[in-house]
Amino acid sequence: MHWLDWTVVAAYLGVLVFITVKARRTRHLEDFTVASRDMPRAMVFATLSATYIGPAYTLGIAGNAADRGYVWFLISMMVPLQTVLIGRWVAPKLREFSGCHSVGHVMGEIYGPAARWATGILSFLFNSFVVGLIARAFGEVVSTFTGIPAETVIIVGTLPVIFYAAWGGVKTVMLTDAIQFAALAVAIPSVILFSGYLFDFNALASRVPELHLSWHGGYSIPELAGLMITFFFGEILLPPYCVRALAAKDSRQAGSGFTAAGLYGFPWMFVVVTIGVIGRASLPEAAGDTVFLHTMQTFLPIGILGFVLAGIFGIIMSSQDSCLHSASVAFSIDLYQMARPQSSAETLLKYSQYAVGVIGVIAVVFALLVPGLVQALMIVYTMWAPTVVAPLVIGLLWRRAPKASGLAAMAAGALGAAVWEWGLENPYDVPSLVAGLAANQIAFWAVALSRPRQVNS
Amino acid sequence: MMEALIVVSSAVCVAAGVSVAVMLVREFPRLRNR
Repeated sequence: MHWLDWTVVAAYLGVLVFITVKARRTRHLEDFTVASRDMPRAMVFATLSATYIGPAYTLGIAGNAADRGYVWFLISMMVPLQTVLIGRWVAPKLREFSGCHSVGHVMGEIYGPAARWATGILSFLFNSFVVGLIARAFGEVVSTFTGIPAETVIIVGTLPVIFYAAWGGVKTVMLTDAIQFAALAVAIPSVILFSGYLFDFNALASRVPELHLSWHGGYSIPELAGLMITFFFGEILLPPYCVRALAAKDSRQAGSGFTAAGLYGFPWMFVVVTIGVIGRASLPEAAGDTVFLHTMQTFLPIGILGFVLAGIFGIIMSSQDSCLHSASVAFSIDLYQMARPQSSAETLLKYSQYAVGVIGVIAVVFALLVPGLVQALMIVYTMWAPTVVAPLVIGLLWRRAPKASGLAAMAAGALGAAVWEWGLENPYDVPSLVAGLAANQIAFWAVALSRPRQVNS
Repeated sequence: MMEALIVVSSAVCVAAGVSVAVMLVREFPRLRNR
């Protein structure tokens, strides 16, 4: 890379440090966990968009689009579609839990302490794992451009994220997310502009196989349905997204922030898939997560390459910091506070900050062991969606949901998904997420219909 | 048709990014930690 590109990247990182310092150190638990519940809808939109647009929805999707074409827009648009629906129906209900700090806390209010413990443990493990996964992506990106070993980058690159997440809590995370969103939103489409295909789709179409322009991309109907269902349900109400709803100023701003972030996802996914197809047309030998990076290197001029690399840094760091923060809150609020209910807010704040550091180290260890991005994300989906998502949504929409139903659903969902994935190895091409969700719902309604109703407070 | 979709999608992404940057500059003093 040219020195001018490095200068642009350094300037970008300097802005992040400046924002972190100016955002001040957090001194209140509510500031650390839910940003004082004072975020306007524009901030909810920016921080949610920056968080869910991680490396998998950029590098991973572009790699798949290079392999199969525009069918990956059909698959990836499931994510913004569910975000719009959550914004319309669920996020405002979530914000009504104005005493809660985390998704585990909300589950505890609906289904009782056992559900809070279970959700807290899952949330802690899930977020720690994703932080590691993202650190791996960070290592691969920088290694591709510089030749520095990925392992070194993983260790060194995670340190600034640990610092600002511990220093300023979710307010600093959200403010840096907004900067990172601005960078990625402006930078990434410039790859299409400089490729020369922005106003000449016919030239692009003539250089890729016809299958890349079809709606199915060569997938069978069951395969395609499985991928769409997995992308639709996989990321619903992940802990960092729930925090954005809890941090909104009020229910309306939570809902409209989520809806706007979902609507933004449609053009975003189209841009990313198009970059993947451009990568296939220009670099037929490139494959997987590196297609996007090689396409950048091929087309972008000096200076702009640094700007887009800064955008990629933004994509990575904005997702990593949010998951790191959520993992620390899951530890302090859902686990430590449950074990020691008399803990003061100051103690919980202190343990949240310590947890950021410890989880960061655990994540680095994960990062050194995890293989491909989308494949790893699929394993993570298997853990989260079949357990927490359905009982949470039902509990938010139906306040009289019986407490025992939630616990039964979580246990059955985890067991169903695990047996389907690792015991039976996904028979009939049905993803374990679907089998887990089915087990979850059968158990939920079996218990709900067989027990006398218990009205929650 | 596809050309128009690509141009409009790119333009929407860029416009959203610029809008958020402007919002952040205006709102930053109110949004930081107490």
